[in-house]
Amino acid sequence: MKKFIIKTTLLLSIILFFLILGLILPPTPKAKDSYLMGKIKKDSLLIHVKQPRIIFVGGSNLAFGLDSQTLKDSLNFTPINTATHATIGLVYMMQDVKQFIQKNDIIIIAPEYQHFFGDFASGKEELLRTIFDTSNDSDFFYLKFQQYKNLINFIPKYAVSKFDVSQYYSISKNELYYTKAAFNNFGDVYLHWDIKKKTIIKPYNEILNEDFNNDIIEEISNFNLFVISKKAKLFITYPSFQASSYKNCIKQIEQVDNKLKKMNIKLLGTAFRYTFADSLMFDSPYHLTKNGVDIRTQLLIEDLNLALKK
Amino acid sequence: MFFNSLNFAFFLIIVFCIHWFIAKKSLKLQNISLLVASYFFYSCWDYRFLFLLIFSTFLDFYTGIKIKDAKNENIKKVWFWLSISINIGFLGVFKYFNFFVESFSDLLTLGGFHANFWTLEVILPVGISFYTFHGLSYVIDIYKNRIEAERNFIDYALFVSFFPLLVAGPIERATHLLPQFKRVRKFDYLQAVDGLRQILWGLFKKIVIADNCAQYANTVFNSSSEYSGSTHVVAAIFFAFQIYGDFSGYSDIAQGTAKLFGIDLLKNFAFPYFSRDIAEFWRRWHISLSSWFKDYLYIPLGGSNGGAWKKIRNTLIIFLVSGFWHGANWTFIVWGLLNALFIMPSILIKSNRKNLDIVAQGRIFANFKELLSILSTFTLTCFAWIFFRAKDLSSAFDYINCIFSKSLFSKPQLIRNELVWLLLIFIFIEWTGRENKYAIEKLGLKWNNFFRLTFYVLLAVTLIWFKNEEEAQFIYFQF
Repeated sequence: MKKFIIKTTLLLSIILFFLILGLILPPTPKAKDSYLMGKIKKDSLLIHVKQPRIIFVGGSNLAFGLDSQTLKDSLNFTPINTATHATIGLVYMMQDVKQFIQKNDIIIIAPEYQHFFGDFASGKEELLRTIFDTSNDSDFFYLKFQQYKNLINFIPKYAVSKFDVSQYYSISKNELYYTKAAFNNFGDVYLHWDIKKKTIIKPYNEILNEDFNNDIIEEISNFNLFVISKKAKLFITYPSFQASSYKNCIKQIEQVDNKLKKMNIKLLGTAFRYTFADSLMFDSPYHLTKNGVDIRTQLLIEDLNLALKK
Repeated sequence: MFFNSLNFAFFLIIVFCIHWFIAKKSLKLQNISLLVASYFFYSCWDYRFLFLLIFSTFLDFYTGIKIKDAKNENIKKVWFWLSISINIGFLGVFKYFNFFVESFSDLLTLGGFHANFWTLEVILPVGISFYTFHGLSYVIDIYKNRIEAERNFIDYALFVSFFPLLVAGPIERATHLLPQFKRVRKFDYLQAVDGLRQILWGLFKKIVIADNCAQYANTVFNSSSEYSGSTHVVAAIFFAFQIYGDFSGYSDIAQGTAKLFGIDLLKNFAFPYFSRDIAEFWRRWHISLSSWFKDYLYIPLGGSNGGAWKKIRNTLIIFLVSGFWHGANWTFIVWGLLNALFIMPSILIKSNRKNLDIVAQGRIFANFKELLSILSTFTLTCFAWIFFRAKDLSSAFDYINCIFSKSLFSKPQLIRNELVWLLLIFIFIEWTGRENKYAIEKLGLKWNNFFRLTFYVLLAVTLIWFKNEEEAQFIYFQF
């Protein structure tokens, strides 16, 4: 038995050593060029952009769905689009932006519908990559239990990726609009604006086959209290969403809508108002083409004008 | 709690420690700790069905004793049929009730009648087909006076519920497994190391081979009409590797886990894709189920004795029942029927037992004839898998239709080179290890410690590297 324990412990220790080494090693050249690295630029905007400003918080529906320059020209607020990827999780998005909120800031959350079901809001692999590649590694120690639970499965793969030779020399196969170069000076993805969409986007049949997550409603409420304490203002708006997906997922969207309406937070527009014809979707049921971006931006300007007048 | 999850790894370490450090010297404690662990493991799936499992266990335990103690044949028969009918009844209600109702309703519709029958809103209890078959074989063996009735409930319950085999087999026999729960198990270093190696290989088959082939196969099977004929062929082959990696990988993990506790489980797979004919394939695929059907159905029906008509009848029955065992869907029945048709000629001309040895035994390469036989058997098997995988019969026929299109000879779409290389390496390792119980049973045993350790670390890294985001369920858990 002693021999068995010693040998298996030795094997596990070697594997563990490589995993820890993988976590500690700096991001690979490929990771440094990745889309998630856009967060560094966005954090810098959050620090340096002066008042009056609007901070957008959400997933890629915002990254691929806003023209901040038009917003700025119409509203006289400087937008900061902090969005990258939905699977970072709404919980982390809110945790992370807290440190940058200043008095009189307007914060607008536009969460993808997935955040309201199962444990999606606690983040997946992209959260791990965001923390270890773009943020301070110590952020890892301030996560919540459910976030750790979600991330533990991704740690080995992330660590092993540091030993993948192709991460160090080969050129990224991603399109440019999925690299850190994709973002303009407000944080919007703009490199896809001139590209003609290639395929028909397959709609969702359901948002997620999971139960509604009431905890996320509580998280948003707590975030709202924090925003109020900072003398800033919080609004919630709906993600840009493909019309055919909306039709298929109407029951789950109504469930989200009903919960949001019961919260003491101002809603901008309606879920239906932010649905877009399938022809306006770029490469996912949440990502808009330039035409779609223009329409959504106009809708947001109208809704924000209305909300700010009240 | 899937075998390929971290939760299971932690669970296994805890149960291992309790078994070998706390319950080390007491048989009673060893068995109780394993039983509690098994029930905990099962309740992680759905605790409500734990009561069904315990009831089913108690029923067979009690009726087993009653059958053995019965003073006359009539009483014996009553207890026997009571147990059989309740066991089959559970399977019928949970697994087949809706299928029969819906099929009857479809039949009436075909005849011009329209009826809306009531169906059950139930989910299938995990492992019900497996533990019911454990119980059935136990009761039948007692009734046929092949074994004594077990008088210790803990031991019997452990035979039915031992966690490595609880949800997807291998389907054990009382004669093989129960005696192992009757003696204090002493830690055997070589057996435990062998167990860990088998677990590692099982994980490789599941995570690297099955789950990655599944991505390709699922994409094509789920949107069949979008792809070329050649892509359909590749997807059917990938599905064949998916289901093999999935189920034999599961069986390896189950056997390896049992070895960590000093228990030897029945072999379930013996490199079936290297079979030279369908009869050999069925001696090598899901062996514990095939032998169950052979012993408790085929032989009582007369087996391959008697005239041609009887042989045809028995072969059809066993394969149709086997297909139906897999699930309440016509696709499984047609899959069983196809296999019956494939094997029938060899049974009729009595050539079904000609390939009892291992292909190319003692040689590195197979000869041309062997290679041709292996490829033709694999082709037939892949064709039958299309029905197994399709969601309904019309999808299966559509799929076959798509294969035989103009694009059959075009370049297959969506192919990932790394997956093809992985499959080739996998086939090579399986081929070189085909004379062992599992492919890497003896691989590296004579290497020095450094190289062996490096091999294990590389295997572990490959598992991590190829692991999909989501923990994929084992296919046979749904049966």
